[in-house]
Amino acid sequence: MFPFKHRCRMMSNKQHCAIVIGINDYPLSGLAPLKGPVNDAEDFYAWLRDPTGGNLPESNIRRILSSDFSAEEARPIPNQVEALFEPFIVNGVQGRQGERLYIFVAGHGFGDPGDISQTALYAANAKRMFPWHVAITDYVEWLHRHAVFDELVLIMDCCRTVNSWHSIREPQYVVSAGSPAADKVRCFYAFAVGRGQVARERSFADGRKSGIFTKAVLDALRVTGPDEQGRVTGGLLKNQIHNSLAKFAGDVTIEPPEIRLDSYRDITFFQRKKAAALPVQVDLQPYSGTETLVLYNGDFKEIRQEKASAASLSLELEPGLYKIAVSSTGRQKIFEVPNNERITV
Amino acid sequence: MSGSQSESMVTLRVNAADSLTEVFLVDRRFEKIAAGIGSVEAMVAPGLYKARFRVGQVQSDSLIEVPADAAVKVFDGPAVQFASPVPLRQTMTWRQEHGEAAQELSRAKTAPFRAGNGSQFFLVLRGLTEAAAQPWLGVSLHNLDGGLMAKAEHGICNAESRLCVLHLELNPGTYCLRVEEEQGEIYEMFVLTLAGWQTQIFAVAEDGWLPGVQLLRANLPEAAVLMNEMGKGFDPASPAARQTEQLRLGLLHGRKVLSQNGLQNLLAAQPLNPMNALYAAGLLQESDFVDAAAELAQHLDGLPDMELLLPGAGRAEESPSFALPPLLRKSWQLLMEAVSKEKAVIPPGSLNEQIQQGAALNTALWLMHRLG
Repeated sequence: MFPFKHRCRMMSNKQHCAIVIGINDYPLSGLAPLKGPVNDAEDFYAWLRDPTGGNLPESNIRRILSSDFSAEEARPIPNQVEALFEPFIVNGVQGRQGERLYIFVAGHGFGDPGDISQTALYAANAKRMFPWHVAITDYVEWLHRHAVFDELVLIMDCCRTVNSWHSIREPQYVVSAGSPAADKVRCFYAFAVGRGQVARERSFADGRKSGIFTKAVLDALRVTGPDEQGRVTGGLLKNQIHNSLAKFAGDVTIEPPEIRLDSYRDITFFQRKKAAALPVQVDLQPYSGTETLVLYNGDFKEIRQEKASAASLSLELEPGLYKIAVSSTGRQKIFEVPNNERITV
Repeated sequence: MSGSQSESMVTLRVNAADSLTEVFLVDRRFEKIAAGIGSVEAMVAPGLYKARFRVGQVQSDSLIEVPADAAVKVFDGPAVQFASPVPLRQTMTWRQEHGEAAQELSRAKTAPFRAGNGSQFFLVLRGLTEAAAQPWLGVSLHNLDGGLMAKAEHGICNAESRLCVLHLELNPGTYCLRVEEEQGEIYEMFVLTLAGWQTQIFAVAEDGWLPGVQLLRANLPEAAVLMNEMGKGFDPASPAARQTEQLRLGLLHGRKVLSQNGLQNLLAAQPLNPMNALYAAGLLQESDFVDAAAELAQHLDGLPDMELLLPGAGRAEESPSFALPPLLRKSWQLLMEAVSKEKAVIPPGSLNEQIQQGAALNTALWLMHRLG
């Protein structure tokens, strides 16, 4: 662990901080070990550090992974995870600590049987009869109520199954009235699945297992196009995640995520000139060598026309809806980017 | 998509395959431009759009081309292949053998077992995997005193088909459907039968729906319950059965699947299906359609759920007494809240008092409690 500055460092770029948690192994619980959460946490950490991503200074990121320990240690335990939140709570009582806090959580999670809004992360030492856990959404709620940051970004790639015998215990933080500025806090809370559902991981092309939801979130952070003012907002990210998840799920059956935000107090994640382009391969079947391809965007504006020099060609397209047609024939196809990496017309 | 003033707009109507499917319409930038239940309509510029159809936690997408040369574009979406304990066609859990067997056996005018008369109980337990070859294990039906009415294994059971069907004629009333998860771990839900109606219960055998229990047992907390008039039986292709199941899924997953129109259509049905009335009452909790409450409350008169879910629409006693359990867990929660506020009473020695003192599963759609 690195030393933590009690107030976020005033970098020339941002007053952003982050908590990153990834737990793969639950040796005492009977819960199946996971392969994805540590990878997910590392990937999210890398995005946070990336100058073209979150662009956070290393000292502003507090991280704990089960891979920091040997699997048989059954670590981290709740106190070790809660220690990441502690400085924000201790100092948050005094007032605002920064502009934005990211909280990324991956591991086995669960929902409270009684309170449908609460979701917790099982600690690595969780047992069936002692379900040690960290009440993540309680912490986030506290930080919101005390307006510790102007913006809260919570990403939980965890199951939210509900177990009648496992209720979520409120953390032992101080009780205080909260801040009048709480109403102004902007939030983006993204859960891999709705309450009662199971989040999924799978192997990806890089040979590692990752959470499908984390992959979709990170991709959305990288490629989502801006609005007319050049802003990539929480609402646009949400749309992108909802519309690209199928691509990352592959053959795995997944449940839809739950993403909560207030459209009247949305977060502007970045300013961006345009969306990142994604590759699409177009196969011509049949191919005679005389075809001319015409590509239209979702407004039916022609954006490209060219004679096909091969039975297959590659395009780089921003996320959206498109139509491609073979000129002077009835052959055409409408498709979506992402989700259609290869189409045949 | 925002169209310029000079651009001709088109009326785009997107119809779902059934009236309770949620429909979302997004533009080329994936921005939501319309949402509705059963269908949506929007004025749009010519271009490409995406419709998303959702039932419970399952959704499917369709891309739509809206040409410039039409004033109206109608798009009929595909049926969403959701998962269900009911062997319905066009679901991801459809098994022809199960559907046809349930259809044939449910239509018998007289049930093979008689323990009363006037109503029928029709139980279908299914296994969807090879490991779930005996979905009937541990399942039994009891009266409210705990007396055994029948074990599922007394029905038609076939390990090869992974199917069990138990068909009984009963006096109308409330019964207990039990499953023994492991030795001594018995859970119970409540089932209503009504005069002239066949109550159809469907459950899939799954492992581990209780923490730490790996035995394959019928997943009663997620059981589906349908009703049909006696003699009409179950039809796996019935839009009405699909509709009732979609109401249950909406309630289970907290989806707002009842629109004003949808509710009116439900209420207009003659006779109103009792399960539709129950599910609609549960869904009304999440909606603003208070006017419908009084109409709904006329159905299933005397069922605790209706009094609890539709307060003010039923009896006007100050502290009504509830001796018999409701069917839905949501109703039970409302009862517990009412009791804690001294707005309802549970009589001493009643079944409800036993449940209150025991352990009710707070994760099921149905009120389920552990015996003992």
